[in-house]
Amino acid sequence: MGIQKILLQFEPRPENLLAALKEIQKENGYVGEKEAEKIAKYFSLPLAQVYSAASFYDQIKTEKTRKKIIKVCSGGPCLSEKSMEVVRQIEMMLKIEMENDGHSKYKLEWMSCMGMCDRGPIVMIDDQVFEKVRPEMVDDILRNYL
Amino acid sequence: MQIKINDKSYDCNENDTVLAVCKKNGIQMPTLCAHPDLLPSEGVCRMCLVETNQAKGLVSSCTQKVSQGLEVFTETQNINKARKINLELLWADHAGKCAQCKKNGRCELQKLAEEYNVEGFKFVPRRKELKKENELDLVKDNWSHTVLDEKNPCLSRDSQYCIECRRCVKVCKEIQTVESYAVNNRSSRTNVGTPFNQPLDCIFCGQCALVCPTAAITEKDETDKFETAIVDPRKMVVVQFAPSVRFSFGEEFDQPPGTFWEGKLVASLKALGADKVFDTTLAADLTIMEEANELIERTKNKKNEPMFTSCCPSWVLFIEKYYPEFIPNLSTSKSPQQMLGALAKTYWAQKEKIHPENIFSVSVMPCTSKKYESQREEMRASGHRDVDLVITVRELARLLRKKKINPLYLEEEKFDPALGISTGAGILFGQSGGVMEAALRTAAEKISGKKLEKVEFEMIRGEAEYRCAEIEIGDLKLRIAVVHEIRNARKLLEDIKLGKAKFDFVEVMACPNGCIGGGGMPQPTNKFVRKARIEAVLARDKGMPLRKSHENPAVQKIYKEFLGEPGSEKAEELLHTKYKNRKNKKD
Amino acid sequence: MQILTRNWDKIDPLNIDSYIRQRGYEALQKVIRNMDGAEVIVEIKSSGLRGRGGAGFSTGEKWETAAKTAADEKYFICNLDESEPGTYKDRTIAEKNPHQILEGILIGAYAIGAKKAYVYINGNYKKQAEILRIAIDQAREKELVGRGILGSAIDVEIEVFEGAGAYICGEETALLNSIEGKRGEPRLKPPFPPVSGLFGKPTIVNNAETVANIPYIIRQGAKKYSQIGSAVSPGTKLFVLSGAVKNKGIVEAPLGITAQELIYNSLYGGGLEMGKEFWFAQIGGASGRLVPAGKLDQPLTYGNCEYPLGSGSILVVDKNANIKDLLLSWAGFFHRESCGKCAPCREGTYRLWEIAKRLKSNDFREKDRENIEDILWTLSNTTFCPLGKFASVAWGDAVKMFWDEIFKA
Repeated sequence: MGIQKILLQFEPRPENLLAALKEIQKENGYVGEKEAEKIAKYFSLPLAQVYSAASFYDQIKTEKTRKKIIKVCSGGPCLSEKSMEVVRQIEMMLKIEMENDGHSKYKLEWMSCMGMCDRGPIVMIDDQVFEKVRPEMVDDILRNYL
Repeated sequence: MQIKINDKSYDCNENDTVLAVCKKNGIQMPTLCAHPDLLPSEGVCRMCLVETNQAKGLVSSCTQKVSQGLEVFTETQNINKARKINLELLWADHAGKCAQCKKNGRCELQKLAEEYNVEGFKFVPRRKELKKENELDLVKDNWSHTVLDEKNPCLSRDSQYCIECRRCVKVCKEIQTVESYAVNNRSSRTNVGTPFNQPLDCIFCGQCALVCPTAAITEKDETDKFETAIVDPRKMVVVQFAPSVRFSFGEEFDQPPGTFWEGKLVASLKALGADKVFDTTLAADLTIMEEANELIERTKNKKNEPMFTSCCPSWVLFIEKYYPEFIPNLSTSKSPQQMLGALAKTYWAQKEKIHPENIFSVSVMPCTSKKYESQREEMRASGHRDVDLVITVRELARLLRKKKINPLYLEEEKFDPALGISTGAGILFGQSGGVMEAALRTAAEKISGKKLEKVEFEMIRGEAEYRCAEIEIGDLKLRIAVVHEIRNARKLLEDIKLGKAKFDFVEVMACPNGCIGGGGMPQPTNKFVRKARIEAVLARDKGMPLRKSHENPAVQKIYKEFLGEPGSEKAEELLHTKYKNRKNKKD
Repeated sequence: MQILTRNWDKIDPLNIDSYIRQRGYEALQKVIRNMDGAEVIVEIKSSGLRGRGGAGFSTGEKWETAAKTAADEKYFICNLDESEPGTYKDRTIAEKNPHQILEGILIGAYAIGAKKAYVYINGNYKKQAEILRIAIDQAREKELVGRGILGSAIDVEIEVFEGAGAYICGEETALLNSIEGKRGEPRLKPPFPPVSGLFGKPTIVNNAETVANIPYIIRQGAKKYSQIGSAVSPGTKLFVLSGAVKNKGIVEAPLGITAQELIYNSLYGGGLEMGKEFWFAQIGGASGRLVPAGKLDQPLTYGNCEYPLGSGSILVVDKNANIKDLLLSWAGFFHRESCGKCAPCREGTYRLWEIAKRLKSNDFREKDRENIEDILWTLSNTTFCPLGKFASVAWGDAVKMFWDEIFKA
């Protein structure tokens, strides 16, 4: 579906900007310059304002990323369920370091609590969420989802 | 009403902020994000915190409104602790960088850091302490978000110096309505910049550089080109400077705003090694001759009304980029800078028997977008670039300091008379309404054939944003308007489009109060400083022997010997220009 | 004592009739047919209901201010952004009994005179957003939402607004900016939202759990409600237990209960997991204070508490836990979530996070001790919004209580 078609789902009112950005993010994988210009035109907003809002939120990416991002919840309850061991396992298997951007294909990051504390530790690879992750499960997850 | 600050009572009005009361009464208060022209303040730097009897903790005085019974304390232990720690936090990314920085000695953050004895390396390790790998990651990480923008001819941006005070966002959005900048990203990655870090592609008015407290946004420094030309024995370096520059140049050397330092400026340029110093004001008189002639032609033929002035390159860019449908309305006259540049390499060069290729033409301007103007492909009437280099007042001052030349100790000197005589009308160009008044002085006499008794046109003076009037000259009724700041220019254009406004002649200046508030002027420039500069301009006009452009003998000579008459073929070739539709085109 | 979770086992979230069978929408009918806005507000005020998001402000007083402010448009917003780590109570209400929230919203909107209501839901709660949307559609079919509610002249439209990932958007003014299509940065207060909120109009922002209490209060009366829980903050609260407790999950208990009871009583936490020894409990999420064993017996209310209960999540930490991991977790969270507007928070949380990372690899510097104190002080005292203070709470306690532990190699 083209960007224009997605935009036409929304009335060009400011309270629909965030939803439109999310929808385009979902469809396109990111909101780049071309997409943002179309959004700015549709909502009659300056491009600077659209980019300013888009770059603020976690769920909207403003550039194409070639890396696979692996996120581990940093919250207290997940820590309690040994999320640190999961992190160490991932670091070991992929030979990367938490928060280090050095690897060309993968990046391991902490992420904020998603409200699934009853099913932690939580790991996310792109949009896929994994619950109750134990170190033993890491190998399988990485093999099948990276 | 009255409020108490540090146990003393002060008068204030209902909507005043505590900060405004402090500033008015000389009470010391550090600020980094507040600016007198950019109200209301956002309260993001947290430098202006005070303690009050109405709140439990510290509040920002720039956002705290006065109220009956309010008591404020500005120098408590907690406040000083807050200032010190927050300055150290802001300073962390700047520590150790001053020596190579463009704004060394003229940076608001540096000034505060010195005042509060900031240690500098409190939160960051020094270079020599950086041993461990993860610290190098820190440095690498910091650099990966730094945005450098040198891709336009006028402004330099370096986000490592940005303290996110948001002044540039405010001035570009609220005063100029161009909105090139916004606040992007979140957390410590928050940075002020353009969408997608695109290179700046705006009207280059430089107001952002003018309000920037650090070196995050500055004018492009091209003084090296000046230096190179001066030491080149083959080059005849001719320098001109704008009317408004002589009233603000002194501020870079601790003089009060509005000090008339024309003689000192000529002397400084000569001391640097300039061969000739000409006065752009002469070309301003020339511009009036051409533009008044053009105005009379257009009103007679009712063609392309209203006519807009075209000496402000940011205004021209604004039309070309955002309202190209109004291009036919722009006067085809070049700006004084460009006219003088063209004449220097033709008329003057011929007289002096110098080959124009050997002339290096420099102008000192209050303006950043003049750098762009001088590079326009249409500005080569002499066969060469009419103006080879434009430097701002700030750059000139920086160069003088570097060469240890202090104008204070120089004897005043005069312009070279060949292109150095001017009138009060030309001087008025420096402030909003000046071009209009100068044009009216000439047009009135030319049309009515009678000598003007009173040369002042007060109804278009003043600092209101949108001044209009109907002037009667003989049978002619001229509907005129004077506009400054792009937000007002935009309003005017929209009103014209809607048919709500009808004018014959409009003067537009992109900067607040015209060139005396230009993007290349000394910092700080704010409404108080501009007022002082305006007063000096008006005083100078009043005190000059000649006050009408057509009375300028040097101008008369140029027409007699060279151009013929206003609007002649030669004048068209050298002193007039064309414009281009630049809407949605990447330059 | 079950007010919020009453009959949840009998209710199918995707079937409005199952809610109606449990006296659902009775309160709304009572309000639309027999009460005017002012009467509703009097009722909510005298119930003593206080905000369940953590701020604990009197709900009735907030509503009164919004009702009194004259405007052509008003808004009622249910805050379901719920991003405090360790908290998932609002999500649970939405997935178990969405109509409970909707009914509360409708009554609140009516009371203040709002025709438009939003549910601002955490962007990660996609499933729950869908459940709410289905519930709204089903309610609309029964004329409970939209134009002419229950045949009256009252219109209230409810829209689900999904967030896009930012903890700061749980702060009411940042939430308003977010809905307006801007960065979720907090605004200056005053003006307060009930006077000038969404698009400058009077707006109420209430936590989802607060809103979920409204139907009960209207049905059973303020007096009955005010007698439950504690005098200073009546009613029950959903507490979220996690960490080293036996029974992890959500429990409903009257306000005024102690952390001791919540952790050790078999009705609730059931004590620590086998083999684990209690070290401290963090009450209120990542921005909560650290409560040592000796202080667990203080009643948890929304009054003046030494240990504020905040969102009501309780993380039980046992002696095997690595304090440096927790410090990194807290510092990293607030650094990531800082909106970046004011200098002390933007720079302070960043520097604190740097220190936390180094502490974890046992890389101590001489300046660290003083720097930590200074950063915590400035976060607590000079920031634009309370997030700065939140960021300094847990570290402040940890540094006071476990200094040697933190700095030992």
